[in-house]
Amino acid sequence: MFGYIRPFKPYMRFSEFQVYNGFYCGLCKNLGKNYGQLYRMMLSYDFAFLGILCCAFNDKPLHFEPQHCIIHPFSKKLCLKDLEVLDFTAAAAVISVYQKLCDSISDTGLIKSIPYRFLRLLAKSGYKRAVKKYPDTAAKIQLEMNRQLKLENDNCTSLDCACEPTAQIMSALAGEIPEDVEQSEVFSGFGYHLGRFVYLADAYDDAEKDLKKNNYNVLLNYSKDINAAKKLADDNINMSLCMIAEYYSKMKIKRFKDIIDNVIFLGLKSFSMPKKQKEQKEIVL
Amino acid sequence: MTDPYQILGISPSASDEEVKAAYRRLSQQYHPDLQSGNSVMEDIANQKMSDINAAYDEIMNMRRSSGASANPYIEIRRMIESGNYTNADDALEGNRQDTSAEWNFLKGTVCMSRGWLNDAYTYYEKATRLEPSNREYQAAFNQMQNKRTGQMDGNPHITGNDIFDIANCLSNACQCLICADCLCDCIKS
Repeated sequence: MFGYIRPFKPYMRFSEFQVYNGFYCGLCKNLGKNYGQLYRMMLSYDFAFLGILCCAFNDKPLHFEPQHCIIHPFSKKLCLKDLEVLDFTAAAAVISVYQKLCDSISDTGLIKSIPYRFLRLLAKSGYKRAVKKYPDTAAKIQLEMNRQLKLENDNCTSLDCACEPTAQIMSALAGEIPEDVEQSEVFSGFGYHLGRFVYLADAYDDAEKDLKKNNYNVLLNYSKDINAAKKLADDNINMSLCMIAEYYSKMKIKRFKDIIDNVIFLGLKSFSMPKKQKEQKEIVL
Repeated sequence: MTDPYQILGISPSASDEEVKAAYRRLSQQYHPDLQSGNSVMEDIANQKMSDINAAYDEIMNMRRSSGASANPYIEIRRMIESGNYTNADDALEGNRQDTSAEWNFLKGTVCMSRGWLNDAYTYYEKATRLEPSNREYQAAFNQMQNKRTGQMDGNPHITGNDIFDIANCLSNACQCLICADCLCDCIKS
């Protein structure tokens, strides 16, 4: 369910895009340095956004520098140099990815889960390091993932209940960013609806597949008709987006406002668009 | 003693307002001052008046002592106002058999505070359906309906979905141009 919190590139300034990618690269490097190469390959845009949110809240100077990396061996890309500001984000990414692996293992059969099991074995040491650094966050994520598994096994019929674990995870992560209580509450609310959005967008995308394979999807518990199910998701996503905007207006952001604006007001809204350019259908003007 | 409700001519399920209205109506009707000059009538009116007063006091005392059961929602509203949503929800769950508009409205408010927007929408909708004339319920429901349209306050960008189509199209056009440019370069060299 990763990759729904992303910028809407056509409306991004080039400089903004470079900063955004700089955060992504910095996060990737931080993961490589602290948690091993495996986690670098499983990084999603969601956590780059969390990283930006962390840094948008304070005004410590940040240094960017053109650097090489494995994926771009020939051209240098602007990369965040102060890796330590992304420590929390990196740990959050590691814990989430690891828990997601565990989730995939319990979702699939014994034979199909073998590659996941293998990956999990490789990922374990990094996960342990992240848990050691942020035990509270890890415990919270683990708790909510277990809750999610239970909800799915019980075939939960309430849409709000089904969203709750993902929403709570994101709420906990966002709530960690500011230190003062008042802002922390605003960030928590913001995170809650961001998580709710991610869960619903994922359910929206998977609706057809889940209907065919008879998998659990909370939307299908409301209606077996795919259009009605998607309409319900759409309505609820809209409500959450509205709440996100409401909380966002109360957040004391000090910089990167244009980037965050782009993600919130355009990136999230384009959730139903294909993720890759080549999957896009023809458009006639 | 006779039933105080019978004396006031109302049913025990009458609201506090109805009790007060009945009391006001009867006390005007039987006020001793209105019967001046006729001592017999004055005596009857006095007797009646004291009965009415006693009945009214009894009903009001009864209602006050059982407090919560008369209108349990006053307490719940106070909890919601002070941000004590967990207790408010527990109290509401205790009254699950109640299907009044107010119950649905308050339940919707508690759901809203938790971010359970789908449930909040459903409860608000039910409250307005049960009591369409209530402005408070209507306002809450309208707000939810506005949220469903996907309008985001504070959006600095042009709204509407065409933005995505146009932007995509433009970025595709750019790609085409870049490709064409590369091809030209190839041919030149």
